[in-house]
Amino acid sequence: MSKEKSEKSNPTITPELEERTEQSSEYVITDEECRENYGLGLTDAELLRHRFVAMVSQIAERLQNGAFSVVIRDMQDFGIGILAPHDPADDLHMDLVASAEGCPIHFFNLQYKARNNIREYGIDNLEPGDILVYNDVYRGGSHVMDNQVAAPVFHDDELVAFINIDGHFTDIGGSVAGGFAPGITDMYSEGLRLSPRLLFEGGEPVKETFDLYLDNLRTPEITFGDLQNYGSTLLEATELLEDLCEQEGAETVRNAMQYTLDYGERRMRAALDELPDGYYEGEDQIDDDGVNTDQELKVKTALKVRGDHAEVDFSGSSAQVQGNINGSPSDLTASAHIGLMSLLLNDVHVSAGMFRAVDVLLPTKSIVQAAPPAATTQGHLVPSAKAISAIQNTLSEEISGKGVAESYNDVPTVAMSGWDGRGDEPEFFLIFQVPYGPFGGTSENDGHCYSLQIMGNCREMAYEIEEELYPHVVLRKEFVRDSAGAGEHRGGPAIRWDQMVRFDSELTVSLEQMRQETMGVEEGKGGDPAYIFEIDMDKWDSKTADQCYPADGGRTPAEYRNMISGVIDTETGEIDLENGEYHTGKFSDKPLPAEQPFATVVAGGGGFGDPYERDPEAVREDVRDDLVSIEAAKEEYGVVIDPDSLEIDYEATEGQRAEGN
Amino acid sequence: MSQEERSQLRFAPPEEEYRHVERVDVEEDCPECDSDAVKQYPTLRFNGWQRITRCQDCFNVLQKEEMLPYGFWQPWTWDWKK
Repeated sequence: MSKEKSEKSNPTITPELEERTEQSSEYVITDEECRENYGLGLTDAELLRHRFVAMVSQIAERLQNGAFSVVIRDMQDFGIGILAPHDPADDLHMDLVASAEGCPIHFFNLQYKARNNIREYGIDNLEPGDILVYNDVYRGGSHVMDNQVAAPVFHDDELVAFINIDGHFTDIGGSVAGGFAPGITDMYSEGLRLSPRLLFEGGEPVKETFDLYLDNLRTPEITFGDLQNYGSTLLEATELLEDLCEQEGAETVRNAMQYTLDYGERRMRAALDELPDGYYEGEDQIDDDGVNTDQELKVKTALKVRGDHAEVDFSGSSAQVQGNINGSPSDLTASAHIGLMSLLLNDVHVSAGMFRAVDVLLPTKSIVQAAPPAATTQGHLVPSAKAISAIQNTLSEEISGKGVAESYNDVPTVAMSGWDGRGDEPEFFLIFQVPYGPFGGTSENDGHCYSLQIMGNCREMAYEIEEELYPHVVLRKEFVRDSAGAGEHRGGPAIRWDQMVRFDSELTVSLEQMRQETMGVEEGKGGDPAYIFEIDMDKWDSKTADQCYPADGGRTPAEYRNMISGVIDTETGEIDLENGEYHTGKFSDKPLPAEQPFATVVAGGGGFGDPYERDPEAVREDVRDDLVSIEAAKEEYGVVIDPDSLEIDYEATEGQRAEGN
Repeated sequence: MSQEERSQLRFAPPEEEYRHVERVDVEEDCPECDSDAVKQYPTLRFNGWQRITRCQDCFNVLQKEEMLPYGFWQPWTWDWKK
């Protein structure tokens, strides 16, 4: 076909598409190669690869529709995976073949947890309708609140796959409601730790396992529903794969799994091959471990690239600690992959094929690979978030073609528990929240304003539902003015979240990024650090509220605050990173009197690029949106704006920027 | 499993402030690039824990050995038959 004719019949071939087509030749194989290697035409292979993903989406929908726990139903704190069978001779190792919606750290670590536990139970011991359950951190898990279930899929008596769900339980027993317990110092205090055992046998619930959960958790009614839901969801899910095997043949399905894994590997290797060979170091800090609060900790990463292969070495990270922020190898390996993929691969569903190109080194007895009996409940979140940040910092724009400044750099947790007196009889309640925050500016855009750290991807419950379910009121949820790291592309602003509980309760919090600003890159500035305070109700009244809000830009004057956490000037009550005193953001069971408002303020995102390069119109829009003050527009960005008309004085701006440079 | 291996269900906390993975020199040249920078160390790979012998220059893996499934720890009952 002549070029002219092809252009007429294919008018949508743009230069961008041509470039992408050329790039994809690095990892897309021909139909002939596909048939030779997998016994499948390329179209069929691709259809099946996408069908695996669609099946996981369908399973996720089913799981959420039947869930009792708000953490699974509303927050989407789960991961689901289709895993290959275990056949090392054929290079199949219960690898993650497909994942979809849910929490990335769950499905990135899923196969490590699954492989260990299923093999310990004994693959040959599994029968149709069996469902295993397990949660032990030291058996490849994450933290004991994440309970994984695994169902074997059989076709004509042959085990062809596994389907796994890993979801967060609101409570798992232990010394603190919700399980997140800053201050505890060993795994024995954290809650139920389960080796692999049957939850369902031949499709029937196993009494002993159900009793173990129901007798030891603070929310047995919810847990009972969720365990049943796990079972019914998985039993339906196995039928989906059995039907697929019936339609296409078990051998075709297995070959399609191989194709999917190899495709993932080719994609990742092609992406790594684009990076210059080298040794790239990064690190990030952890405020403290919740016990020894004067000790700052470190997650260190070294990315070594050779051609299409890489190693991520966590050597130089802090030794494991007394508090509960010790990490597990499956979580930190997952974090290494998440960090790399966030910059290198953003258009392909995750499979374990991508993991083949990256090996992870984890020092023993460290906060990235703790040894028993170290406590780990917060270790699933804090070192993982920092590891992702460290890896993103490692790959600057020069190296990867993409640059990203630091996000709010945490996965905070807030839990409130007590007795709900709204009904005729008091009922125990446990509210579990994961405050969201901003992302850092990138080489292409301002930082996203409000999301969960990328390893989370969870949803937030609607406040109307939360206030109906629990005796709790959300008072304020808003951006904090002048808290975003300035940059050509600024970070997202810090967010404050004021709430109160109607009855006496206990408050447990873990909040990070208090000792330092978040990191800006390529001359971008850091975002504000995090802090926590209570409203001083002796001084606060409705008149004060009218005076302060909304003019305070999210910053309640110090005279109306009692600071709890942050780097605090004890005289002024203001945050002062240079001269203030550090008060940890990790505490358990703090008494919270009825109707006492408290506020958690997460960190602002770091900025990307020189703030003086920011389009003045964009700065004016920030001022109009009350994200940036008139004063900060001038001081940080060199943009002079009339406070009454909000018009830009371009001449003054030019002068200001010349003077500033 | 030996009695010594069975005893390791709890580990004393470390003394150092920071921890490292030790890469042990191996007296062997890489067959791919002839480099003598060959080392052995544990790593968590896509298919589990392996102690690999790898050329540090070209990343060729000369040898790989499967480690304990959980890295450096194993339940006492790991090898019990169900």
